[in-house]
This record gives sequence, C-alpha cells and structure tokens, in this order.
Amino acid sequence: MDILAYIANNIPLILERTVEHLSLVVVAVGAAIATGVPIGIAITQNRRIADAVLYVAGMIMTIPSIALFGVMIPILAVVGQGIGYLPAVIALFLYSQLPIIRNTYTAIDNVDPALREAARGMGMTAVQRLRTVEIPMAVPVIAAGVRTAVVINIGITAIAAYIGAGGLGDFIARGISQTDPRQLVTGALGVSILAVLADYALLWVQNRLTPSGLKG
Amino acid sequence: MIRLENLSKTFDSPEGTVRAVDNVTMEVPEGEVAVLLGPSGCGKTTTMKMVNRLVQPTSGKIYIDDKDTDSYDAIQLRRQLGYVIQQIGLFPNMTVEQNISVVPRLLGWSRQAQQTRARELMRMVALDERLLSRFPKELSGGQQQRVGVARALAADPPVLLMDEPFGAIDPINREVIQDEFLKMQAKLKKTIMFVSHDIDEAVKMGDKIAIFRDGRLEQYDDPDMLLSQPANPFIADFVGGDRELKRMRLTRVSAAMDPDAPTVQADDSVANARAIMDQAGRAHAVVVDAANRPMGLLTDRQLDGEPGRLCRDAANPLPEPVTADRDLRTAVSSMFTHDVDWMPVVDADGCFAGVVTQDGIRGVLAESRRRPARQGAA
Amino acid sequence: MAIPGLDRALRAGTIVGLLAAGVVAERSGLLPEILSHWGDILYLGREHIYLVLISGGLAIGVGVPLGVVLTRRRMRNVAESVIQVVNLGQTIPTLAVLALSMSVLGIGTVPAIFALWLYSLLPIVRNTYQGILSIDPAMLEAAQGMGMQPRQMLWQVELPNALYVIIAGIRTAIVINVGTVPLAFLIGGGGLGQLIFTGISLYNTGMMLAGAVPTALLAVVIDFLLGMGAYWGVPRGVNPLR
Repeated sequence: MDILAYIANNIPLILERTVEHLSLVVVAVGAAIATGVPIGIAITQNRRIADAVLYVAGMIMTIPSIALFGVMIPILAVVGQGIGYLPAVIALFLYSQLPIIRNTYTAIDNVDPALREAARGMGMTAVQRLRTVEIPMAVPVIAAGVRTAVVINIGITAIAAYIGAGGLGDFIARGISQTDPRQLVTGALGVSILAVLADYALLWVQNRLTPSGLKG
Repeated sequence: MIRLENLSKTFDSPEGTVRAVDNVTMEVPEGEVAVLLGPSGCGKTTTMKMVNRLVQPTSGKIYIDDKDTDSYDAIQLRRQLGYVIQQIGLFPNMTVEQNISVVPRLLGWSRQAQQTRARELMRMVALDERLLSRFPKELSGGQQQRVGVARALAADPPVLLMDEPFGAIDPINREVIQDEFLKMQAKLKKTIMFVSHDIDEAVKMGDKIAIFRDGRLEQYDDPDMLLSQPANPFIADFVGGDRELKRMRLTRVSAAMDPDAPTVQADDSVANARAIMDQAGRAHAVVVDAANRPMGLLTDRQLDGEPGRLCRDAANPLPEPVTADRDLRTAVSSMFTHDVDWMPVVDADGCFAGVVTQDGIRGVLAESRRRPARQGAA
Repeated sequence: MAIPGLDRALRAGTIVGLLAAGVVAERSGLLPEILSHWGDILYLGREHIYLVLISGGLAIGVGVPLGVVLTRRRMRNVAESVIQVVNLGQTIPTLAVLALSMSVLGIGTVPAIFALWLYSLLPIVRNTYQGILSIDPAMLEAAQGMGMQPRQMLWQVELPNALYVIIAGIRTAIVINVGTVPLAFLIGGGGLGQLIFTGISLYNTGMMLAGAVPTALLAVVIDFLLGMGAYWGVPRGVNPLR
C-alpha cells in the first residue's frame, strides 16, 4: 500500500514531527499543572472566586481552538512572535486550565466532610490537612484532569500546524493542500495513535497514583 | 387471602445449589397482617417477591383468594397488588400526585377519578393535600414513606406486599408511622404480607408472625404464642432474652387486674370500712368518692382510732392509677417509678375498675404460656 | 470568607475589558477592517450554523436511541465493549476525524457533516448510556413491582430521570461541534473557518479576526443558550439546579 510505503520511507521525518508535537503538549500541560493545581487548591477557600474562575476557564474552552490561535497571532505579533511555537503553546496552556483547575478543585472540595472533621478534631491545621489528607486523595482525580488536558491538547496541536507550529498536523495540512492521501492518512493515523496511546499511558499512571484503599 | 403451598426457590451458585426458600407452606387470613421475620438471608424477602412474581418460584404454588397466581400474566398480577419497598422508590420526575396515580393510570382510570383518589389517599396517610403538587425531593423521609404507602393503596388492592417499608426512617418517626398504619389497617382491613428483621416491629404490627431461617419456615404463630412458646432455641434466641417483657406489651392491664378489690366510700366511717374489709378478707381497701373515683387507701393500721372517723380523713395517699387499656409493660414501669408493687386501675372516665398487682401480672403471663401449642407452620 | 460584590466586580471587569478591546480595535483601524468582511460573515455564519444544526440534530437523533438501546438487558454483554469503542473514539483528534472522512468521502459538505456527526455522536451516546444506568435501582424495582411494562418504565421513569445527564451530553457534543466546524472549511465544508484560515495564510489579521471573533461568539452564545435550555427545560423534580 502506498501509505505504508510512504511511512516506511519517511520515518525520520515522522519521528521529528512527533517529537515536535509532543514537546508542544508537554510544555503546555506542564506549565498548566504548575499554575492550575495551585489555583485549584487556592479557590477551594472561597466559593464565589471558585465559581468565577471556573466560569472563565470554561468560557475559554468553548472558544474554538483555531479562533484562539487566530486571536493570539496579532497580539503576539507585537513582540514579533506572531506565528509558530509561542502562540500555539500559550493557547494550549489556556485550554489545559479548565480540566486541571476544575479537577483539582472538585477533588479537594469533594473530600468527604467526615474526613475533614476527623482531621480537624485531631488538631491538624488547614495546611497539614491539605498535605496529609486532601491532596493525596485528590491526586487520582487531578491525574484524570491532566489526562483529559493531554488528550485534548494532542488534538489541538494538530490544528496548530496551520499557524506554523509544526507537529504531526503538518502531514494532514500538506495532505489536504497537496491532495496527497499518503501524507493525510499518515498524519491522521499519527495523531490518533498518539492520542490513544497517551490516554492509556496516563490511565495507567492514574491507577498507579490511586491509593489502593480507594481503588475499585 | 394469600396461601403458599410448598413454595421453593433454588438457584445455582459456584458453591452448589442454594435453597433460598425451602418448601414453605403458610396462609395469611383475609384482613390480617402476617410478618415474615428473620435474620438477613433467611429467605423472607425472596418468599414475598415470589407472590408478585418479581422472583419466579422454582416449585410450589401461590393462591390469592383461591386463584392460582400462575394463571395471571405477571404484569396484570402486579397491578392488582400493592407493593412498598424500603428505599421507597418514588419517581423523582413525577409530582406526588402523579406518583400516587401511577397504577390507576396504568389501569385506565379517568383523570377525575385519579385526582379524587389521590386526595382521598393523602387524607388517609395524614398528609397535607397541598403536597400533591410537590416533587419527592422536596419532602422529608417520613413524608416520602407515607406517599409510598399511599401509592401502593391507590388502586385499592386487596393485598399489600411490604418489604421493610419503615426501615429507612428514623426510630422516632417510625413509631409514629407504624401507629398510623395500624390505625389505617384497622379501617381498611387489607391482607398484608410484611417483611421485617425487627422482632419489636413484628410483634407490634403482626397478627401473625412467620419466622424464617435458611429458607425454611420455623414457626408461624400469633405474637403472644411466639413469645411465650418459641418452638426451638434459635427462635427463643431470635425473639430475645427479654421476651416476657415483650409479651407484656401485648396484654392489657384489664386482663391482669382484680376487679373485685374492695372499695369504701370516702364519706363512710372507718368502722364500716373494717366491716367491708373483714368480709372481703383483705387487708386493704381503696377509698372512692361519690363518682367512684379512687382517692385514697385504707389499711388495717388506719382502722384503729375513733370508729366514727371518716374514711377520707383516715386514708393514705394512693399510688398513681393506671388506665385499664394500657399495656402491662407500661404498668410495670410505672410501678417501678412510684416504687410500689400494686396500682389502682381506672377506666376511661377515671372511675375505679380494680387493682393490679405484680403477682396478678405474673399469673396472667404464666397462664397463657400454658396454652396448647400448634405445630410449627399453620 | 465571601468577598462581597465579587461577581459584580468581575462582570464589570469583563465589560470594561471588552470595551477596551473595542476601543483598541477602533483606534488601530482593525475594527473597520473586520467589518469590511461583513457580507462574508453573514453568509458563512449562516453556513456555519447550518452545519452545526444538521450534524448536531442527526447526532441527537441517532445518539440518544443508541444510548438507550445499549442499556437494555439483552445488550448487557455487548454494551461495555461498545462504550469502550465510543470512549476510544473520543480521544481521536477532531482534525484526524475530518481528514479521514475526507480521504474516504472526498471533499465538500457531506464529508464534513459526516465527520461532525460522528464526533458529536460520542458524548451523546455515552451520557445517555450512563445517565440511564445511574438511575436508582429502588425506583426501577418499585416500577416493576407496580406492574409497569418495560416500555412504560422507559418512557415514564428511566428517560425523565436521565434527562438532565442526557442534555448535559448534548450540550458537550454541540459545543465540541461548534468548535470543530471551523475546521470543516479545510475539507471544503464551508463556514467561518474560511475567513480564519485564509486570513492566517494571507497574514491578514482583519480577515482572520472577522472569522475568529464571530466563531468564538457563536460558540459562547450557543453554550449559554443550551445552558438555559437545560436549566428551564428539565422539570423541577429531576433538575439538580432547581
């Protein structure tokens, strides 16, 4: 088959694009975890701020990705970084906020009040409680949020090819514009497999992080 | 009336064949409440669920009003029976009125008939009619449970099947609802099969109690019989070591009192009192007023002194009287509270009816313990 | 520790922010540039909505019944595997689905609608399935014990009680749908994506924003409308928000 031949002949290129793709996702999600988790924890202290933050993050999610990329371009053009890596990473970073913040917030907020009561009764401060009870129990849910963010981002990164960010989406874009089904399918299969593999891999991690007392 | 004949339910499990219900034969007389009682897993719920075919019997027959239930289509059968479960199972998407009207609607009643019936039922279960337009989530647990009962009664079925219906309610409200249910049943006289794991509830609610163990019917008797003559050590253990105290709940003071205890008029003389007491051969007499209400007590010792003295002035104060229709358990508790071993008994109008003593209570309990026992299952 | 007036402050802040953006747009000559494409915005906007309605409507029409069927007793064995496949399908990026649709069906509106339909199907099927399965078994036992037929149970008990979750699934699906329609342009499906992508490749910010801003607004508005629909449409008894 043409496609298989194409793949076989272009492995270095495919790998290069895959690495490009993954690096975008990893950087964006990594940054999102670094900001999202603390924000998620912080907003558990105040219901109204939490509602506001989640609302804003949710709004960002409803904006179609290409639209967000589009809006990033003129803004970043001011600093000469209009296309390519930076707008893509920033948009991806913003898209990762909701799953991570919301999962962190929900996980900590939903810790059984009885547990909180017991911890307080034992004389723990709020910070100690966070550290020994709430956060460990929240980790699997946060991991689920990270997983969602990664899978969504792999998809959006494919679109980022259209603003010059590279990645596997590049094959799809060229495949469409050059009416080349080999590149098209290579790209489509590539992102699909990448997404599915990432989902399973992170599911495994999520399960590893679930304290055995909470499983099943 | 419900009749079970050699009813069995077996199924296969990895450990072998399990006999969930083993050859059960019993009859629930019309208009009576039969409580199926036993520990978890004894087969009581499975037995009941075979009556409305939520569980298919492996063998045996079930007759309702002498008709074999096999001859009915399962769904038609269920619409003729009322079914109440522990978790209530009200439909959150329907209002209270719509919930109650489910079976009438399935049976094709007119809208008008449904509405009238719904209002009638709310009155019957002592709920405000204004709750008809509310949704279940807006009701308290006790209110939801009453709606559940109303729903089961909607199509006026002759038979009710109830699976631990009051189990999900807190103990205080449970007492209240049980009392109201008994009042309702006294009027409606439905034939009821009631599953419970609580011996106290069974004794309170049941006209008959069927004790189950490991799928077998161990004993089927009225509560007093069950408590006074348990058929084997398991049952004796299950009904509890305090079963005589439980029995006391079932007997009225009027059954244990001595109606012939001598009385003397308040305005009588002490000399007369002595004569009455000598004649009755007793050492005490209760002093009553003109309306026959007890007001004092005369003993031997007070009879010394001027013979012309009025009884009312010579009398000692009386322990708190107890009404004749109270149960023995309350009476005994009252005796302990007031530190006495006997009490005067009055009727509903407060007039003297007799005297109840601890001896008298012991006697009446022992007497009925000697009633001839029936063979296990009816 | 509630900070009084916070949400009013936020709302005010959003409005101020939008106004500021508007002023900037005006000053930099961006706004007239965007508005020069007004004709295209209307035409492509209509196409855009049309794509959402058709693919979304078909997805609801197939997805809800499919979800219901999967919950039936005789489907028990197959259902879990099917749901696994559905979940798998949802991880596949939208662009890939569109691209693969194109490679099989060619370019144009039909392959675009097909891809959009397929992708919107997944959240709807999954939510319908889970919504019905998560109904309190006590309710179903009571319904069966009262003598309801399976069909009556479905319409009078199961569906009304799963309604909120099903509508949440529809909302998710439509939001994803609206967000994916811009990409439909790439395989010849039309819509506001035309302005966005052309604007990017021509380095024409005005054109690009003429596509991006209406798209974003459309998404937000539709999500808001669906949220209102969920709040008011689902009867009080089964609506956790009321």
